[in-house]
Amino acid sequence: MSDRKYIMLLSALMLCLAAVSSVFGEELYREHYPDAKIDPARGVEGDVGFSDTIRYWRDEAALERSAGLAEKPAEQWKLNWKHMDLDRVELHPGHLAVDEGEALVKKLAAREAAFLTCLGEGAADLRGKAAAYPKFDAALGRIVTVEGRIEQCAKSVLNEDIRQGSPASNKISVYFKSQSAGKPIKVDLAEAKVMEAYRRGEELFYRKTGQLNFACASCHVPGSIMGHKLRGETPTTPFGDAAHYPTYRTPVGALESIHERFARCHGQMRTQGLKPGDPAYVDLEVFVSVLSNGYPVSVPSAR
Amino acid sequence: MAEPMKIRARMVDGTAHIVVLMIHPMETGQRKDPRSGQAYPAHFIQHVTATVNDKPVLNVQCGPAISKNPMFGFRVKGAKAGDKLVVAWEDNKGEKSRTEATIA
Repeated sequence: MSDRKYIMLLSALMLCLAAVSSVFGEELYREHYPDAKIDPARGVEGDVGFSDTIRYWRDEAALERSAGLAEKPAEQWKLNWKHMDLDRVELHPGHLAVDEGEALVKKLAAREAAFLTCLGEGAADLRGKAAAYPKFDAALGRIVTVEGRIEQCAKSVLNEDIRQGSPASNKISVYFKSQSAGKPIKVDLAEAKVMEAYRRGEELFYRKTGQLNFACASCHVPGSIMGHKLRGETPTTPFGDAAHYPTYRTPVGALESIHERFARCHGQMRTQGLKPGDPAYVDLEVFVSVLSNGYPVSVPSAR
Repeated sequence: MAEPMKIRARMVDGTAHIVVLMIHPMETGQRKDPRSGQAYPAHFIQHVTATVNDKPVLNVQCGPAISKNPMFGFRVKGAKAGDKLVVAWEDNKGEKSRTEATIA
């Protein structure tokens, strides 16, 4: 009995020591993937000289020219899956989600008209609004994403929880973003807070984590696994990738927001994913959205 | 009330490429409600038909193995742009749905 007590005391002491050393000791050891030197001002055109696949998917004409790549498994990745966006593929349940989202927004707006004007920041017309997200909201004092805006409006106007990553949030978000389909993404880089978030997101992009010690960059910069096979998939360029979220995921059979996608990536990197709406994910979303600046919003889409 | 289907029908190299997306729960009858332990009653599409200008072109008998919100794709030779396409389904509860479209 006393032996056991002694062991318990010892382990408690060790726990205390561990806690103290983590507070006063040096910071956690972190490795970073080498910086790929991405210039935020170039937006989606930064892919020129990066992966150089943008010439296959820059616009309709380019996609038309490179349509044959979709049939070639080894080269399909060069399309960056842009041939699956908007009306370029036949019907998929992402198209149904737009209708469901519209019905949901109408239902909520019928209860409280302010819900719509909250989403549209004063205007009831949502067309073209989503292209400027994520943006800095001075009144809230933080960066808001489309899903974050929906959550905040539902809470403040309807006193209802539409949590980010929930099916209802994704449906509304798909509808909201589809209202801006075809409009070039324009994240405001002149705003200092957005630039701060971009720099934090950039740091996260290169920071390695998890059992496999992977960073986003381990798969998505030239010279990494990008363009090579990784467990049956071929990682593509991060440029233009924020344009099509939330997307209908055919392997999952459901809508997936970009934060849920980050969490899924984290699972594949053997580390704990964060909850949708986590500040770290917002920073990462700012980073990838800036890499899509100038590319049109492509919702609904399937992946 | 069954919701209308979404239909895309277009001519490609003289053949009509038709894609139909149906909204249906396609419940197999095998799935159980974890709270009550009761099985969800089977509810699935049994019969799908398509006609082009009132001429039958497709007759499908299907069962619970088909997914939720199923998509049917088929090609019709000899159809022309402007032809009237009618797709209809009937499920095991006797619910029916019918949607018209024009081949583009």
